[in-house]
Amino acid sequence: MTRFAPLIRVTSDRLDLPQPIKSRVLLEMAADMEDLYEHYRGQGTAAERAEEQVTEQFTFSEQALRRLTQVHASPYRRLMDSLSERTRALWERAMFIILTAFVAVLTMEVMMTAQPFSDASPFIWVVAALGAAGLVIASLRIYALYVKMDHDVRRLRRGLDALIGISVFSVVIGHYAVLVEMFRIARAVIDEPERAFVGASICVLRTAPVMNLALLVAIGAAVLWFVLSRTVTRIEAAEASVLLAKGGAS
Amino acid sequence: MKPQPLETQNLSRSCHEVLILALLATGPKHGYQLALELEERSGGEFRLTYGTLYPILHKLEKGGLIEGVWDEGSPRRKRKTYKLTRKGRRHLKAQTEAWRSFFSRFFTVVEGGEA
Repeated sequence: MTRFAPLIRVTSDRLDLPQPIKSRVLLEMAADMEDLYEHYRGQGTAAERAEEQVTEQFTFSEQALRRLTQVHASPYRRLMDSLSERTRALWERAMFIILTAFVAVLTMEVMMTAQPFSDASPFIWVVAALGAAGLVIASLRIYALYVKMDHDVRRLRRGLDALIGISVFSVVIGHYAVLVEMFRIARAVIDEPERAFVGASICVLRTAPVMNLALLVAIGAAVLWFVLSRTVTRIEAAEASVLLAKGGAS
Repeated sequence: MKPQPLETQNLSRSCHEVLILALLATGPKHGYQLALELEERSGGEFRLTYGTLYPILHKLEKGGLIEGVWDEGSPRRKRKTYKLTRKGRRHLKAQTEAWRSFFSRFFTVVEGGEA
């Protein structure tokens, strides 16, 4: 590990750049730090003093780091940076509210008008709500990772566990709904055996949409979790690779 | 060819960019070499902090004026070398003329002569 790993770590924490640009910049800095250190040592400077001089020169001001961020900023990021902190927060909050409202209204409209769903067990509303929540969480993560390119390792995994939870819970709810409906209709058929065939049809009408939607939500949330997790893992690996890069210790 | 006027609002940034391009005109260099050579060749007059150097280098690279190449063959570590591109050479030539013209007019005003 490079002798300047602590300084690189601090710079990495302060440098607001997306991966893989960030690790390339830090690798370049790490190499220049080592070369400058060897230059000073070559001039006869003591090891400790050389290290001090390099550290001093590579401790960047906030202004310098901001300039570096601006050079690599995406057009969207440049637009966001041109807004004040308050305006930016308001814009993101507004987008979140609009997205949530849109998903909620769309979900309810589909649930109330589409034939398979209107005949389904009430549990379908629970599954639909889980699906809508998963969609909102995934959208926010996608926005943060791919649009805003906020690759701060402290926030990378935010919301990912919720997607897995939604996936598992929707299957559980789907199975529970099937169990409840089948049990309820079985009890009714025991009282009126002549309605057995009708009862079976009602059971299918009420449970099939729930199970289908539950599986759709579960698979969708799991796939989104998988894709987003891979991106997060790649970013975390890139962050770690800079700190673990071998230096030229002499 | 009539030299293009300098963007006087960002003289400092323009000056640093031209200095870096001029240093690269003599051959490819690493980032730390640019800072050291600039200070040495200017007798200490121009000192670029690394906080100023890296944004300039990356901006010039994004603009296609210089090209950054990673040295994959180094057994010790990856190092990035910068070299001047053809576009960079043309830009350096144009900017050198612009600065020459700028200082000519500057001293004309200061020394009270006529343009």
